Amino acid sequence: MRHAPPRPDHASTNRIRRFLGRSRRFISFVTALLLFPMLLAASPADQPAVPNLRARLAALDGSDPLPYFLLAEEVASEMRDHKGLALARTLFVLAHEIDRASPHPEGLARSVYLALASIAENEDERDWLLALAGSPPPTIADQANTATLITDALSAARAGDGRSAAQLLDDPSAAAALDRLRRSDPIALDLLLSARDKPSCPICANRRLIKSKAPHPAEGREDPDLVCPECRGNPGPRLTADQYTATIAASSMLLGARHETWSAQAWLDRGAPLRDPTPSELAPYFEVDPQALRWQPELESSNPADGTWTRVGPLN
Amino acid sequence: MTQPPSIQRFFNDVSPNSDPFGLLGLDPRNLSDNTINTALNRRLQRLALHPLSATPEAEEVRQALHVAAAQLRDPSVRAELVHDALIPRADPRPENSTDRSRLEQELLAAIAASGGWNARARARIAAIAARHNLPPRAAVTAAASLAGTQRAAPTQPTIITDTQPSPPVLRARAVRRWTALAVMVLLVVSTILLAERLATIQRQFRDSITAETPPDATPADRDSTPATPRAAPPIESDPLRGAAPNPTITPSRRPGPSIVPAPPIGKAQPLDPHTQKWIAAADLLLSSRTDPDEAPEFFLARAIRFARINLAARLLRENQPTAAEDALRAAELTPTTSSPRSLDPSHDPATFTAPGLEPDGALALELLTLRRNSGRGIDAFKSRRFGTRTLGPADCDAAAETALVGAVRELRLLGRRIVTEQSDNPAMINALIESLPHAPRQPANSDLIEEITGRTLPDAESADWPVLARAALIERLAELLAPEQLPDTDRFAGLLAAAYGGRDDSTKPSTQSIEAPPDSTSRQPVADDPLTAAHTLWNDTLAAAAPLRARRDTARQVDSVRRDREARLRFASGPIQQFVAEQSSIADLLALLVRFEQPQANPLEILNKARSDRRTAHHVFRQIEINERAITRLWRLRLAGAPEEQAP
Repeated sequence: MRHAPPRPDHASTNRIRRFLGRSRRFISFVTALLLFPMLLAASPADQPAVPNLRARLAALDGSDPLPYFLLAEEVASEMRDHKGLALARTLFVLAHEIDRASPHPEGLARSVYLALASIAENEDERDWLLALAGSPPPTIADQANTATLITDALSAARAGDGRSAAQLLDDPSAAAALDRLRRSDPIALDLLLSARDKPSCPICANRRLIKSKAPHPAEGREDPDLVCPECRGNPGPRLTADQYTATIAASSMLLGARHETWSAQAWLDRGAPLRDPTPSELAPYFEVDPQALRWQPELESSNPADGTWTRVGPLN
Repeated sequence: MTQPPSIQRFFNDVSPNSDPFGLLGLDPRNLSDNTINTALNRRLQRLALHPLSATPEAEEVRQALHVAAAQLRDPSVRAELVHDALIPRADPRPENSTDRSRLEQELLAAIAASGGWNARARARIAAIAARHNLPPRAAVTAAASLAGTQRAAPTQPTIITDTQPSPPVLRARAVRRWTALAVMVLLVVSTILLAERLATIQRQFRDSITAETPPDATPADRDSTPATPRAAPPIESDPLRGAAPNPTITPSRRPGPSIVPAPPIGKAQPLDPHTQKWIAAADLLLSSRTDPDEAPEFFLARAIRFARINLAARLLRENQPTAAEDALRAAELTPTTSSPRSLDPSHDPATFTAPGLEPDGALALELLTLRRNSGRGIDAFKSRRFGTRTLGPADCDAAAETALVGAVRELRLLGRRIVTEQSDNPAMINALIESLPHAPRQPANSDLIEEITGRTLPDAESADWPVLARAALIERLAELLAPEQLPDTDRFAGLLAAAYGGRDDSTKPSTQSIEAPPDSTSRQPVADDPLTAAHTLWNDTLAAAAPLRARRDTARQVDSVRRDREARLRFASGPIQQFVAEQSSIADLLALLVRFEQPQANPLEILNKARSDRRTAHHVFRQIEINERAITRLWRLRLAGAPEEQAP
């Protein structure tokens, strides 16, 4: 029996062709799917987030604080990048200064402080602005958990109990406090973070005692205890005086400790100066010239937030 | 002659009805141009020294003095006035003056009964004239005269008669002419001054609203948006901005606290020797420069000297020159700083994490073995004492753990005894801090922390307990360690408190109190609380500013300073920053006082400099020195009327 010569496998070819065809369509579909959001994301570059920003900035003439304030709110809300936030801050401060100078103030000051606090760069700045706004300081209850958590983590780190420190730092509420430590006590933060990876005492595993190989005469056949020759009963990293002080200072700040003596305060906060929470300090703090009220756009730039504030005289 | 109604405000020895002699204080029998001029100048000088010398009332009195002098310089008028003053006034009325007076009364009664000068009155007057056998025309003319004029000179007859006036009447007329002229001049001057005053009040009111309406003004305070562009204030603005108080124009006709500004003390009046001495000392200290990079305790030492200078100024102001001299003498001395010393090893934070040195660890071994054996053999510890030597960190760790987390009560009690006997050992406090996270929240543990730290804690079940217990231990640790690290700080704080409180150890300094030996600094309790002293001084300064609070524009400025103070105190952290907050507010308030008392002075420049320096200061002690220096400059302005750069 002779077998018929094999037919060309049109079915396979067709399957391959169909597969390739489907794949091309699939690839095209996927590509389009991937490109679509990119195209969407690219389109706002041509259309600014704040409509007519350039024209609205140019229209500011220093006669009324409200347009400055309203535009600042819009910019702060829609332009969250560095330039946008910087522009918003300047507009807020200028609104504040124009209002202060006005014979009939709009009463914008508190709104300005709260708005600036909402876009503050760090906790200290936020606290200062809230103090300007007359808001009550955070109570113990507001920060009790976080303060206790970080203080205990620091204690564990000093004692060489890296595992406990790591568990405490994994708590989600620790993140904000760690962010604060990053600015106020970087030394304490480094110690805290490195404690995660530090092993306990390699000899006694923080038990501080080890069993002696020689039988202890008083204990009969039981192995007697000895103080660990590695840590000498005091496990944990060896800290310099400055490092140790940094950890105590961090705990003091977070717990809101109230020191009665000047030496105690000056030792722990290193003589931190008082930042004046008075309205006249706002413009100097944000380095805004309160008399530079007119916006000079940078025409070559495509970003409408590019420009400078100038001391041009009033329009009329 | 009627003088300005306010004459007695300036010369209480002059009656409002005085003649020119009384007004000028002259004797009619001894009169010449020289005596008149001398008397006039004397009166004018006395007027110029009065606090209200620049008010419109004073101007009226000044005009009255000049008119009186002019009358007396005129020979004819002088002769008449002398005659009137020396010779008893002759009664110019004729014999029938009683009848005429009765007639006048009847005529006036008729006019009054008729409701004024009208037809009915004229008819009644005609009837009266008939009753007195007078021509009706003469009676009507006399009555019209009576109705049209008030009885300025009731002794003068008002009925027109044919009789000729006598010489005394002529003299009286001449005097009346001068009086009328004087009154006219006074009326014109008063009107002009009143108009000027009204314009000033209006301008001040407008300016005060312009500058002083607070940012959070109520909608009622707001008006329509101004059309003209406004320039924002310069960076260095302050609560003093806005309408400058002008105490030289403060005629207060209303009852209430009167504002009597102090006369400016400057070149016009020589300064008393005490003030001159103060100025010399202040200028010397103000001329000293500060290196921002020097050690912080030097800032504090210099601040103490400024604080003593400022105390001397307050004492001078309170008229206590002797005490002020003492304070000045104290200010000449700079408090000594301690030389670097080797730390007590038990107070060196580096030892808390270092491997223990013998015999450290021995007690730890005993305690840990005891814990492992569940307290077997604890009787051996009952008679032992643990306060005889300072335990090391390993022993402290074991003791603190035993006290807080010991499995058996007897063990915990033993641990607590060891902890209590080592309560002044910083390593023990450190051990408690490290053991506390593992300790159960039990009343016994809370009691132990209270006993060790001297703080009162809430119930152990309270939500605040974990934070407050840890904070109490941190505070206690800082109390034990900080004086070793900063040996001068608490002593300097005590000296600053003394200067603020004006206590004897500052006003009557001794070498002992000023130059305390370095050995006395360690762990010495603070002599006094600087913050409490600063609170008191703020209240005193606020009381001195009471006149400012009586005026609307300056009251707003005082309120602004008070708001700033509250914000500072709310934001300040710890006793040193709170002291700076009080200091800054005292300087602000003092500047208001200076500005109020001396409108020509410029305390704003001093405040702005202090603010700018405070802003760039890297240490709180530097801020304290900056503030104290600014307060000295303000006192310089207040006492001498000029800043130190312009000092002669």
